Amino acid sequence: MAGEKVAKFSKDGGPLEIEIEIGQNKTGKCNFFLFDKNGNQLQNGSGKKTNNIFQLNGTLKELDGALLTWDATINGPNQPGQTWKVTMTIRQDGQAIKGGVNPNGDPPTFQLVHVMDDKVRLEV
Amino acid sequence: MKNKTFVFNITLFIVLFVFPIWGQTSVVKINVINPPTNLPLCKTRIKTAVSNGTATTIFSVLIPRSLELDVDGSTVSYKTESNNYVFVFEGDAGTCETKATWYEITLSGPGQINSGSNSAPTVVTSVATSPAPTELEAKEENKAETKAKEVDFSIPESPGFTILGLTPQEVTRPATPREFATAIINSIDRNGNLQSGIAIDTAPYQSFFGKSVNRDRDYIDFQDDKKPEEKNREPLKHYLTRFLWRTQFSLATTKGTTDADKSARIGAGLNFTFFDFGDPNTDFLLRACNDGVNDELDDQALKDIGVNRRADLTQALQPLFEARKRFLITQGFMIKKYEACVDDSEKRNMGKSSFGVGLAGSWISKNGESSKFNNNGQGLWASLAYGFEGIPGLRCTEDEIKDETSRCIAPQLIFHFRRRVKETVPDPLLAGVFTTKDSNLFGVRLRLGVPRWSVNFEGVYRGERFAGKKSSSNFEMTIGADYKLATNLYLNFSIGGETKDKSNTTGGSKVFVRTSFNWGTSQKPIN
Repeated sequence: MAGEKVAKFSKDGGPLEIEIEIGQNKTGKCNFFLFDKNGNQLQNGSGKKTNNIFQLNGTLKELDGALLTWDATINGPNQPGQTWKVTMTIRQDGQAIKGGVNPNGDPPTFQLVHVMDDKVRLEV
Repeated sequence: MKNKTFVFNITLFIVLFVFPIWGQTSVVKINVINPPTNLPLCKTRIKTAVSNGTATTIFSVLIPRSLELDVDGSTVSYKTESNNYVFVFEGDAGTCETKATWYEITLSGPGQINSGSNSAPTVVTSVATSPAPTELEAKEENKAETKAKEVDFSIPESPGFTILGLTPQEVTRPATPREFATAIINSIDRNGNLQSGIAIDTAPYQSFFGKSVNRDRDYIDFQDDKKPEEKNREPLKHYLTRFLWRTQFSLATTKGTTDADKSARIGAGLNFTFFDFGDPNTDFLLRACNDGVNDELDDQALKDIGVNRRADLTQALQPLFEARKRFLITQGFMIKKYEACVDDSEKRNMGKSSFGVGLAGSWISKNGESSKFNNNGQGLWASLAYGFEGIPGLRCTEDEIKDETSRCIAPQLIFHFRRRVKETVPDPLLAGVFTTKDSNLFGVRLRLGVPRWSVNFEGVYRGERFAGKKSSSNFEMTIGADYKLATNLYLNFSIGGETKDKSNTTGGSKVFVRTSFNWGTSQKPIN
C-alpha cells in the first residue's frame, strides 16, 4: 500500500520486541495487534503502564510481511489543550530497527481522554 | 418531505439502474441500526470501511439532507477513483457545513466493488460500522454538557503577587502548579492604597522538558506489589523530576491607582514545592479509575463491532475497533465515567499536605514611569500545609468521595513564614514620600472547602521596621472565600481587620476588604 510505514528487521537477528510509551506525563492504556500477511491475528497485547514492553511471538519468517497496529487511550485532566505523545519502538537485539521508532503526538490537543492509533508493516 | 422522497426515489432509480449501466459504480444498501433522534440539518457524516482482505480504507459517507431518516434501507453507490472510494449521491447535497449527527449503519451489497480489477476490494458486511466524528466535532457536540472540572483545583497563589503583598490571603498555599496560568488582581494593599495587577506564572520544566517525561519511568514509583490506595505518593524515587515539575516561575506587575501611591511595581519569583500529597499526577486511585473506564471502552467497542474476544479481531475489523472507540468517547455516558474519575480525584486531593518555599525580587517605579524602576528589595517565604491525613472524620472517605450527594469538606491548616527586606513603601506619615521597611510575617490559615469553593480563616502576626523608626508589630485577622465561577475563572474575596501598631506609626487600626479575580489557561486552549 502506498504510504504505508515499513520497519525492516534482520532475518538473522533475535526476536522482536516492541515498546509503547505514553509521554507528556500522561497515563493511559495501550493495545497492540499483530496480523500476518493474510490478515489473520497472530498476537495481541495490552498494557496500562506508560512504558509497556511486549515480546513479539512467531518466527522472523512469520513476521515478514506482518502488520503491527497499536493504539492508546490517553487520560488527562478535564481541561482543554492537553498535549500528548505516544511512541512505539520496535527493537531487535536491543536496538531499534530501521523504521522502528514511531512517534505520534498532538495536534490535536485533547481534553480528558484521547484515542490514537497507528500501524507499521514488518519486513525483512 | 414528499418532494424530498420523490427526489430520493429519482436518486435511487439513478443509483440502481443508470450507474450500473456505466459499469463504473457499485451499490450497497444502508441499514440503519441506531437512527439519530434529531433530523440532520445538513449533510450527515457516516464513517465506514472497505477492505480487500489485507488493507482497510476508512472513509466518510455524506448523506445529503434530502434523504434525512429515509436513509434506512436506501442504497448508495460508490466508485473508485485513484484508489479512493467515492460515494455518489444525487439530490440536495447542501452547502452548509456537515453537522454532528451520525447514523450507526451496516452496509450490505453485492460484495464487490466493480472497479474492473482482479483484486477487487469487498465491502465489510454484517458489521455494525459506527460513524466516527472527528474529536473536534465531538468536542463541539459535547461542549454544552461537559462541565468544567479541574484536577488541580484553583490556581495557586502567584509568587509574583506574594512578594508584592497582594495575594488575597497573606498565608499562601503550596501546590503543584499548572504549566501556565495568569491572574489579575484588584486589591487594597496594607497601606490602604488601591492596586491593580497582573501575574503570569509558568512551570518552566513542564514547558521545556514535559514532552520527554514518562510518568512511570520518570515521575512516580509504580510500586507494583501494592494496591493503589497503599502506594506512597511521595517516595524518594524520581523526587528530582517531581521537584522540577512543580517549580514555578512568576512575573507580576502592579500599579497604584491613588494619588498617594502612583507607583508601579514588578515582582519576579520562584516557588519550589518540596512535596505535595495532593498532586493529581501521583493519584494512583485516579489512575485505577481511568484504567477501569479504558477497559470498559475497549470491551464495549469490541462488542459493538461484533467481536467477542480480542483474539477474534481481524485485520479488516481493527480500523472499526479504533473508530468505534473514538465514537464512544464522544458519547455522554462514557464522558461521564471519565469525569467521575476526575471528580473523585478532586475531592480526594483537596487540602492535602504539602510544603513549598518561595523567593522573589521586586522593583519599583515611584512615579509609575516604566523607565525608572529601582530595586525594591527581596523576599523569602515558606508554607507548610497539613491535610489531616489519617485522622478519621477530617478526611473524606472513599465512600464519601464516590457519593455525588456527599458534602464532605476537607480542612487544611497552613503555616506560613515570610521575610521581606528593603521594601519601598509610601511613608505612613508623609503623603507622597517613600521610605523603606523590613518585615517578618508569621501566619496560620485554616482552609475549609470542596473543589468548587473554599472558606479561609487567617491570622497573621507581623513585625516591621520602617527606616529610621522603631520596630512595630500588629495582628491581622481575615475571613475570605474563593469560588470557581466558571472554567478557569476564580473569584477571591476577603475581609478583615488589623490591630493598631504598637509604635503608632501607621495611624491606628484598620478594616480592609480585598477582592480579586484569578483565571488560568492551559498551554494550547481550544476555542
